[in-house]
This record gives sequence, C-alpha cells and structure tokens, in this order.
Amino acid sequence: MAEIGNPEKRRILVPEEQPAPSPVVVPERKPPVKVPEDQPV
Amino acid sequence: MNFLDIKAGDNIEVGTQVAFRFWRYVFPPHEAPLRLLSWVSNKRWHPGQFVEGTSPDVGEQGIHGYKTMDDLMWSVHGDPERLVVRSQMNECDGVIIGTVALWGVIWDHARGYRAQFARPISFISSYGKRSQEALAELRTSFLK
Repeated sequence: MAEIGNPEKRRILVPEEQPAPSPVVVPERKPPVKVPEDQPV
Repeated sequence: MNFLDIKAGDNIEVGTQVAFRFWRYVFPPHEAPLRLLSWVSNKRWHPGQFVEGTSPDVGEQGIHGYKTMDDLMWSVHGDPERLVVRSQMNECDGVIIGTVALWGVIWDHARGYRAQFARPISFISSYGKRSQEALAELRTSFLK
C-alpha cells in the first residue's frame, strides 16, 4: 500500500474517546506511631 | 500519544480520520482464530486493540490508508482479486478490505494518509480462500 501520492500536510488527531486515566489514590495520612520513652526502639 | 510528537505550528484536531485499507488474512491450523496481518509487514492486528505503527515522520512509515474506496480501487487497478495471488505467495489465504480510524501524528497525502495509530472500524469485502467465512469471523471478533 504505497500509492497514496505525495505528502501534503502534517496534523495531530486526538481521539475523543481517550481511555480515562487510572485514578490516583492518595493513602490517608496516619498519625506517626509514638514509641513510649521507656521502651527500647 | 506522546506529546513530544507535537511541534510548533501543528494543527491539532479532536477526533479520528477514517480511511480505507486492505489486510491479509490467514486461517491458522487447529481451528485457531483467524489472523489479520498488515499488507506489507507481518504486523498482526488483534481484536479490541489498536495498532501503533512506525513513526509517520520518518520516510514512508506509518499505518497507511486511502482517502476513499475509489483511491483504494485505483491503487489495485480496479481488481482486488489481483492482491490474492500476492497474499498467497506470502502463505496467506486472502485479502480483506475495510476501514480504519486513524489518529496521532497523521500525514495527509494526495490519495491517502500515513498515521501513528489505527484500529479497524469495518470490514467491507474479502477475496481468496474461504473469503466469506473470513469476513464473518473478523466482523464478529473485531467489531463487537
């Protein structure tokens, strides 16, 4: 399939039905775990 | 698509470009699903998937399609049957004509297009061994 003639114009086509990007899930922030002072870390 | 493909001054449009093209088909052994192959390369087209071609910005690369059915028929001198022998020389069973949606980087030519991405949207006619069976199977598997 090569007989399509001479190139004339370059363009960019973006389809309407682009696949939706995966939602970004941000993990909930949890409070830092407090280690009692009298326990070994 | 890669937004780095967009150059200053490019015309950006929303949508796809419909084009006409032909493929080779082959019935594999052992009742496996029919295989749809590009005409020039051995690139296989799969149901439910789009195809990304080589960059249309390089030489004559990209996924080719004709602007109209008349342009396609002009390229085969009005006789798609003449493609069948060539397909069978490459161990295929025949040829199928249909339409594709093209998008991404597209080069417009006088009679057709070269595009970055494509997916089949219709299968119109087929020529070769078990051609009607091939047409029915491709319509069922690709155009659900």
